[in-house]
Amino acid sequence: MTRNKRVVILGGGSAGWMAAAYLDAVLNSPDRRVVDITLVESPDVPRIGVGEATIPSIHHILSVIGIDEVDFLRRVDGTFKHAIKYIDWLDGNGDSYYHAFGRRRMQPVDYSTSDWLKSDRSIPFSETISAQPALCEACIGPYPMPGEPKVAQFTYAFHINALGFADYLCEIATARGVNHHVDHMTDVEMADNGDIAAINTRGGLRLEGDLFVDCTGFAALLIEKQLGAEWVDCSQWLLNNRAATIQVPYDVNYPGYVRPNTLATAKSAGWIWEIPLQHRRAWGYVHSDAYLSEDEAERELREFIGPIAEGQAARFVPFKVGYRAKSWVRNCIAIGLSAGFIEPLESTGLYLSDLATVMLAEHFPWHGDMAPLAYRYNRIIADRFHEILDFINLHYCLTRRKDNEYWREIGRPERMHDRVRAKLEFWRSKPPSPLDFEDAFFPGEPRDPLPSGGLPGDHRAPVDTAGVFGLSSYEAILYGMDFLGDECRRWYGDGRAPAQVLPPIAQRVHMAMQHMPKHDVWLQQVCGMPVYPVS
Amino acid sequence: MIPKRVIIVGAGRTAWMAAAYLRSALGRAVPASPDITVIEPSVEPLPGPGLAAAPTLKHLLDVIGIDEISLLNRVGGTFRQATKYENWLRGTGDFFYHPIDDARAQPIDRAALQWLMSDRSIAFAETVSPQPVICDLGLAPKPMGGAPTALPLKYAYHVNDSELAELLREVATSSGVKHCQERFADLEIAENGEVVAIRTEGGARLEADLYIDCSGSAALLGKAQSRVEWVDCTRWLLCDREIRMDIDYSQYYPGRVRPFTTATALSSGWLRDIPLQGLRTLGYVHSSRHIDEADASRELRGFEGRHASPLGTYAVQLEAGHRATPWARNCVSLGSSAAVIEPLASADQYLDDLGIIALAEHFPVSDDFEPNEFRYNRIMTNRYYELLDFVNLHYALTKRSDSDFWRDARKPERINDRLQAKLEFWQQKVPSKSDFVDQHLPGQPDMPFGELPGAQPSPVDTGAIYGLESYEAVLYGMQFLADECNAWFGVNRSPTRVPAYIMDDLQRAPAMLPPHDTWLRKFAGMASYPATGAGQL
Repeated sequence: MTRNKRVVILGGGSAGWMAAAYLDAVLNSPDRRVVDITLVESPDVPRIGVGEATIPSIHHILSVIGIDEVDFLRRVDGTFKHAIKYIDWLDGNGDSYYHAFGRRRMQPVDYSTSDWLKSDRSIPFSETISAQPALCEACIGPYPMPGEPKVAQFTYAFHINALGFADYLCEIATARGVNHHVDHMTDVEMADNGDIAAINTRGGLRLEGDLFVDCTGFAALLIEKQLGAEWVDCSQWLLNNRAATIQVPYDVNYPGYVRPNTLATAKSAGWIWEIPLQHRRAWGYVHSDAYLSEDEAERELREFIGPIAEGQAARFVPFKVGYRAKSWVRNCIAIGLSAGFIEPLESTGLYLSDLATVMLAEHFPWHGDMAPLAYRYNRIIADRFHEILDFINLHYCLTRRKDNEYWREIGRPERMHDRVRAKLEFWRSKPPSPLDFEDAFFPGEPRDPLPSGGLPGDHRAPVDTAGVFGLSSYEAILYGMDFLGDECRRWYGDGRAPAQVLPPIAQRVHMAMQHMPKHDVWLQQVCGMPVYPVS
Repeated sequence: MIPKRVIIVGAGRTAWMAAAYLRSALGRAVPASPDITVIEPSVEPLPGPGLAAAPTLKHLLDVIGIDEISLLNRVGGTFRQATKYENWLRGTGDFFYHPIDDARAQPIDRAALQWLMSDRSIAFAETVSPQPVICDLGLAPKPMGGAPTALPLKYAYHVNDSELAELLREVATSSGVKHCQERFADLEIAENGEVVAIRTEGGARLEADLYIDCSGSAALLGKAQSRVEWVDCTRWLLCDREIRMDIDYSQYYPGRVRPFTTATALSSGWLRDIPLQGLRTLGYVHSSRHIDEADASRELRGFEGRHASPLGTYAVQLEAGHRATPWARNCVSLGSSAAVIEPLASADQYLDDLGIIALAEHFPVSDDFEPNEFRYNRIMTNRYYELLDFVNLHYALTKRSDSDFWRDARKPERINDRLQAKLEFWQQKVPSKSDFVDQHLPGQPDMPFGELPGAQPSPVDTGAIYGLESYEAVLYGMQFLADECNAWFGVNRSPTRVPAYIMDDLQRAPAMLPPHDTWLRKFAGMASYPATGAGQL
């Protein structure tokens, strides 16, 4: 090996700093620096930052970078997240269910699902196989007080302030040798072979690189403006394209608890998230601008939050659902919104950046031709994008809501992805089971289920290998939304035995209620969260 | 209507495994547990040899409810911690281990990269698992009892095939599986290919809702369904026959029981050596196009030594291939009536086991079998080609050219296009985890194995059986990327290091783990034999 590889990252949001810190941690070690990483962020571009919910994959990034969890929580205004609670998704009359991150699987064969299917469903599915829904209702986090014995190892993620996360990663990365310039890119120099050779800045910098990482958000300054990479629109399956957000500091209103879960409540033309941090709560109404004006969306959101939202400004964040046909082109890799976005119904916003970063480290071009690496990278990212798209689409495919034009539109057949349809039809003849998730190719599914034939630049159909959402996740949504309700009545008849909570789950819930502190108490004592008077 | 009656045709391990497993697994999983009847074919099964079980056997037995001690006592079983490959690279005494226990560092595994950057003075497998050294020392994977299992090692078993069949028959029949006292004679097939009924030699006519063919190569049901084509795969895997020999310890006891399977490359194939408690089964898996039966038998005896000369041998056909649709209408083929692959890396055992597990998972809950049939066939096809790739890999990496067989095995057309794409890709980027997400690699043709029935897309390899760790064991055991590493990292590289967590295991192992045969004598009822061999492993 000769000189160090040079990586230039353009854009300093959470995607940019995650890439900088993770690549540095994986590729360099303190005694052997082989990659020079430089991050340039513009002082002119406001960063997008709303309260962000994560999924458990975040633990990998944090632990590779070497981040202490408590330090992390303090710095990013973080709270714990056991689950997402979905409200009003099925009929819109107060129905709810949980998608919890952890579940108990019995060995050597897990019968808990088939037992529940045979039962009278008097207890919701997720409560029979996971202690987390009960912990969420009681506002108990995953940990006991320091020094107390653990009740169980819970699988959890976090709610964080994404801007705080970017700042925190910036501090870590620059302390380890990542170069940081706050400067505005003015132009891009191309090499004769079509690669990016260098970028120039207003401050007079000329930054050459072997690899350029585009973290400039929807602006996509390098991957699109410079290299013309195609954007694949996916709004056929997901109608929403805007979020209205409002935050309420705990100084203004503290409800007396910090939920250890995200809420996602279906509304007239979309859904509202509620994400609790240590200093505030954040709401966002994800909706379709074809069905709601900004004013209508803001009004509905304020009505939902209640009088405490008065005086708090609303912000609007437009977005588009889709992905870059190739997010690695020549020597440029797009990470973050520049590469793709899916509405955050399953908290996959940060996840897509997280995945792209991990995949880039794995496919880092140390030597020779980048094209084969780019081919694989693009294939994996596109596979995963479609996997998530399926899973988000699933929530809309199972709803029975027909209460307005928006929900009736959602119920139209062309809004259901062909692969999701094939999955659902198959599962009506056999409930979902582990082997369904190794290659989700089902009867009746066209060889190329995408309208375009296959993936752009690689005409084969995407493959779903459950890289992020597998059997447990599908079961949580399907059975949370009464899938196979009619079939089970037919298969098992009426007068079925009462549903039962798995004994180890009941035990965990019991122990947690007795021995574990409320989520906010833990945060106050361990992370220094202020104690607010209850409004 | 949900199938209420199941008939299994077969007499061997697969038949009784299917019966016992379906009995246990379906008990709670489907609306009503079906009646299961096993009917034996009139052909006597081959003598049951030792076999190297896949780790999936443990799952099957757990579900059926057979514990480890009962198993080992009843079937002359031994522990299997690795496969040791001898003479695969150059045929000059080279060897490498593919260990079963291979726990990598978290949160990020750099083992392969670190080894590739080193001078390779220690074998790759020894840097990722304590088992190569534990195998060299001939130790059991478990302590004598009482001691905490502070060194939990993953392992599989060697078992006697016919004794396992016998044990499973007992368990199955005592849990309500019916054993038809008459032999299978004939079957009735409807015009649409459905099996209508089975006739016994005594003239009885038996009907079922689902028929399972475990009759081995006779394929009594599958073959009768004329539409079910056989897909030949011998263009990639040349070995098509096995000569077997059992060596009883009363005739020759080498003085030790190896806690691993040995696979030694010979002139026209390879030899498996499977140690049980009372005998070893040797099998020379070879290509009949390159060596005739008499010569193969001679080579086998010559390799084993003088004590093997009076022993009898028998031949088994092994032409690689699979039924295009092992599940066709109301008939499912399992075991070798569904697919045949040479037993390298226990590939045959994985297929047998998975066929049964997948059938239980896809057991119909309605009268429409078609969707279940579609998925079952898809999964079994995926897995067949996943195993084909992995077996093919061993031949693709050899540098032997000392016989017609090895020269033929190395021809480009013997390496399937998907495997070729993997190897080419890995010359650009060392293998890593996400390569196993969906093994569609640059330059790979759309249908590397030809068109599949039903206009399916190409089979997908998700590394479900053999993932990154297994590929690494074989690739680096056979010196893949040796030249590339010289180019990438130079020739003066630092010495290979064994990570501290493996060194710790190895320091504790000799005090904690007894010799394999000592453990077997104490817990599994193994007899004592005077050592006629040299006691060498």
